Amino acid sequence: MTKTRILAVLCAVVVVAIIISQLSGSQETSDRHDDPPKEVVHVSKQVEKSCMSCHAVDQNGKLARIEYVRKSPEGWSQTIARMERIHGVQLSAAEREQLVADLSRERGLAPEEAEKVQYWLADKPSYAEPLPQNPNVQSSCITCHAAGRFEAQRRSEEEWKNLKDFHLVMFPSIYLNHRHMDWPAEAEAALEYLAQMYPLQTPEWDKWKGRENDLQGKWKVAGFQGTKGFYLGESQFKKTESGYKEQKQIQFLKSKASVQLEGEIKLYGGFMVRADYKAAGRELKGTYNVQGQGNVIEGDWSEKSDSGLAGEETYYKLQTEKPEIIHFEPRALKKGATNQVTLYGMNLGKLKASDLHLPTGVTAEEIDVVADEQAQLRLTAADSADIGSFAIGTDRAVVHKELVVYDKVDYIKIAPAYGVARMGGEGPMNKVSTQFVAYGMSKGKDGKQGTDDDLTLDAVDAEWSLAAYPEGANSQYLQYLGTLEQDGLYTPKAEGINPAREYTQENVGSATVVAKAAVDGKVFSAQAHLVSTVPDYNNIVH
Amino acid sequence: MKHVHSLNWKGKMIERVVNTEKPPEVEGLSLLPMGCANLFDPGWETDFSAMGLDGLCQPHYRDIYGCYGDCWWAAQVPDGLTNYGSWADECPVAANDWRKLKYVKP
Repeated sequence: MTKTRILAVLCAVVVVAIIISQLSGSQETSDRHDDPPKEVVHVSKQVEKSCMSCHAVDQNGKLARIEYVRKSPEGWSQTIARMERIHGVQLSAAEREQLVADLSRERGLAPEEAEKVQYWLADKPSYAEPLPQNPNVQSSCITCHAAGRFEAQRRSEEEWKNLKDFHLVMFPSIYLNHRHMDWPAEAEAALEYLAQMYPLQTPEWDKWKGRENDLQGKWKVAGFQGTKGFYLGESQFKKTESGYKEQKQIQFLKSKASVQLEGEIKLYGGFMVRADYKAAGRELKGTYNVQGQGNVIEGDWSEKSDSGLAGEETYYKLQTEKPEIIHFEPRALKKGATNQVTLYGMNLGKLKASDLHLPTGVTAEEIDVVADEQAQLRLTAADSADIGSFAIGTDRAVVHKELVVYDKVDYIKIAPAYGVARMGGEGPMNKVSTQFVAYGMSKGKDGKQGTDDDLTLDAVDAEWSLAAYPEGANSQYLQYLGTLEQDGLYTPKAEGINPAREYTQENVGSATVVAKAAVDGKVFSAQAHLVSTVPDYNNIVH
Repeated sequence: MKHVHSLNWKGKMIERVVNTEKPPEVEGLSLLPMGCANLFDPGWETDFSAMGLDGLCQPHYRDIYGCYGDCWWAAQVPDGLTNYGSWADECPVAANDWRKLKYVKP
């Protein structure tokens, strides 16, 4: 072998060695890449399947628009319906339901955020929401819809700003019906404010996301329906594939009437309880939130065929440790008198008067236990007792409502102060009734009526009537309005033109609601305003 | 009304219904059988006073397509411009066929 040949062979060996080392090196690298990549799911598999054909993943690795918004189940449900209506999304009922559940879980609200708009989510009848503080929001948003609609959302700054164009495209006549202002400019200012007030990231959501309550088990129920009064009951939740099944029995304290309800329950975002009830031919919907540590569920229900027939209700998880008072009446004690108070709750057999933190000047004489769920307590409020509203629970006994001590009833008040009823019942539009309740009121410590320290006492029986509005108007038209029963329930008449009424009018009108009540030997009178009006054709919360 | 006389049947009907000899009352205007004018801008549930309904169209079916067609009360009445183009297809005359008007869902 010549020197040249040896060199050539050596070179070839080196080249081959280099190639092999390169190959083995690249083998190592590709081995490292063979680790299964971490799977990124955008919200959920169902969201990817139904939404990603339009909503692309953006430069932040997020699903455009969807991942920059948080909403309630009701809000997501309306958004999904719009995608179906306008953008051609095709969904089965199960897929739609899955989307609402996934989005409410991953892009939902925190309990504190939902609680503030509970009135809107539950569509509470004749509820007057607080006026938003921002003047641009007042002029450009709530001229058409409730503030609850946007206060039940959290968005990134850009997503808030997108709402201006969204409105201009969806509802172009916004220019015309807001022609007394420069709507786009007003909206821009309003959205700037909303972006600050309701940002996408909040500490509440960071804390809550991913948590879930378990509703299974037995609960005690206490509720109030205007015109019918307080009721108590028991409930049991059992887990199913899609949520829970609930069995509930309630009994009204005044009439003793009992109602059995069967509910299909869905839990959104781990704490928002949405119920569909059936009760002796009636259908009801329930909108509740699980509170605190998961031991209390609080919310509202209404009849599906008349959303004005509604109530407020609270569930308390059954426990056997210590006395827990979920309701008592009367709730208000008069100074200088002895009051027989009936307590309702659980483990009341263990309750001692010393377990309660009674306000100064109020003494408990004796507790007469009727059953573990009911007890009688004689409370005396001395002439020198403090007046006000007092929390009376201690670490030995839980009390969920405050005790009111007052000196005298000064006036009565009607709730709601402004009732909106809607005619219906003949065609597809449902009637919306209004439940009026009269409460005894005390002026409180400052002795002035209408101030913050006024005390709301127990509901009083009243004599109800309708008077012409405005005062002095010919009251003939009242015959075309609905009926106001002696329990305070106003039921409007049917929709459609009333041939008996002049000028092809319908059964609409406004009136003054008058309540007269005798309390502590004195007769009081109060007024509220009623609008008995046209149906609401959009069957949504707006 | 001394020097003004109605020319058409509707005007004559109004003259029959409204006592023209009587000094006009404030409520007389609101009870005239007139249609809705955008000029008054009444709210959907109540009129501009927010307490009464006299400024509202009576019956409301007279104006419902005005609200629907040009999306005047988008939150209260389905809007025919964008979202619910076929809502009123089965109901050409709302005052007669109002039973066919349906809720929109959700």
